[in-house]
Amino acid sequence: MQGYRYLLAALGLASSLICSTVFAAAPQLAAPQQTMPQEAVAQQTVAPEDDVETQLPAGEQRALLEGERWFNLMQKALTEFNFNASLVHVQDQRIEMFRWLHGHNSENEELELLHSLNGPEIHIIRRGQTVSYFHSMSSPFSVRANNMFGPIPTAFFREFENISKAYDAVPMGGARIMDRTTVHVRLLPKDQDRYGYSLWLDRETGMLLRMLTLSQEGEPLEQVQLTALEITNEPNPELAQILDLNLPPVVEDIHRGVSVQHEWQTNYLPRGFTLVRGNHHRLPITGIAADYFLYSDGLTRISLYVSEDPEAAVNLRHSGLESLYSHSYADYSVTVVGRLPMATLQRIATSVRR
Amino acid sequence: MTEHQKEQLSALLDGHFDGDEAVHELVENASQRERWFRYQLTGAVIRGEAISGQPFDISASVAAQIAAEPKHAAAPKSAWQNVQQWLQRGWFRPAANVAVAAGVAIVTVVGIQNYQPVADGVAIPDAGTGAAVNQGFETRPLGGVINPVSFNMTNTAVVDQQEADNERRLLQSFFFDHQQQLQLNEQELSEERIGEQASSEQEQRNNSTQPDTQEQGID
Repeated sequence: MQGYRYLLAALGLASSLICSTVFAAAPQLAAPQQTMPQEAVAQQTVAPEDDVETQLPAGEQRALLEGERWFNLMQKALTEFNFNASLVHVQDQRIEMFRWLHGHNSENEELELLHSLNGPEIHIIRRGQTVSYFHSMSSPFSVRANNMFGPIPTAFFREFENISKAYDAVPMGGARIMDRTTVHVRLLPKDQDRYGYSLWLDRETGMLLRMLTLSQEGEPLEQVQLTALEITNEPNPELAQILDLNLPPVVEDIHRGVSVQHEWQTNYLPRGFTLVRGNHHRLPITGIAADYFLYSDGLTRISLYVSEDPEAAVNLRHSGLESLYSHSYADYSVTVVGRLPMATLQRIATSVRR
Repeated sequence: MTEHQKEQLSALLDGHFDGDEAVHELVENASQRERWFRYQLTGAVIRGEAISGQPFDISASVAAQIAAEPKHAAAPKSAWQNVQQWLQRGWFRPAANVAVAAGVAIVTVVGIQNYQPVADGVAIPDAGTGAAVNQGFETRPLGGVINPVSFNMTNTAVVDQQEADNERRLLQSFFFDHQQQLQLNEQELSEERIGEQASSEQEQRNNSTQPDTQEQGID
């Protein structure tokens, strides 16, 4: 991480040169009246930060702003373009392939389709704020959401400011992906206690062409790579068929409004994580009753369960892209699940007190 | 058991049979049978037969599906039927198309759980229908959003088997719930956003007397 600072300083000049030309070449995406205020806001928020990063060299600041700008270009591309794409998702020994269509209907409502091409047939269909999940082996259901819950993190469909407390976006040069010239943007966690991301964005359109989730050591944990991409003026006619579909009923959030039973104290949370959901419910399969807390840093979300059920009183560990750590005390046990390194999960889990 | 036999067993579970003879051979082989039993047990655990709120008996539909397949329907006395009969004697049920590869399985397929919030006197907010609709929904493996729990069945530490199964069941329970809560959180977020949009539109309307420099200047 020390190295990255130096690299940034060196990049400062280079990127300011590169970026100024690059951005001049992509004017249609960066509507000036929108990006200018964003940059202004970003400068304001960077300045009053209370930690060491306050005094960033000008080159670094500039790089961070360019990174943020690229992230927001990607977000616009993912939510505004009409595109037909296919992608592969690789995790451990698994490789999955999807066809992915995105567009808008005449009311400017987003339409989206993600269709698995390997293994069991999965269709995710999105019509505006209704996302329906069809699986060949289970009953379909709908969720009211702004994004599909698929291989690409939902945070990528929202603006950078949602993750700016915990991550920096840093342009790191480029690479050729899908025969296109791309900008490599790294999402570097401000603290080294969580995973980072590498994004390769099409220089011309800002579209996400490749993504890596990286461990603290820089090892890839999962990869997404587009294998075909066609950006069109008109949405794919297939998407129009979504409008005629009878979508399954929206899942009712029965947990919401059932408040937690105890005031647990979580004495440690990594920077940027805030409580976004809390309730008391029974887990599926085991029926374990638990107080439940969902924390998010804008990109990574973790679940924290505190249960007094003796069945949950097992010290479990599971590491993977999504890990689990549980710790038992005399009369309660704490389980933390999510995409964080084991050490971070452990630190959170062992900080919970009655 | 040879690697070849393991492969065959895996193929059998995946629904790809080499032929009746192979199936027969598998059933006759005692150690094979034990392995089959354990795979099936895993399937049963994965399906979470314990507290499933709604009936989730897939065996009938499985049997119907099997019967409908010309390959099996054409050979009523086939070894496949022997397998079926043998299975039905056990307390477990066959899992349909549950792909359990010999070495590593992706244990993400879980039955629909009609899970309730704990009955603690707290009334569940109702959408006005009067009926306490309580839809369980299944999150499915997709693009790595569900964590694959790998396990290795080749290690025959039978004593620890029950413990291992129990741990796996717990892991599944937590991972499965985590996925569901993430999706429900998306739902919460989107509802909040609708609320925000409504209030910001309200604000815009209130401020409409001020000169409008935004993109949509035309009313």
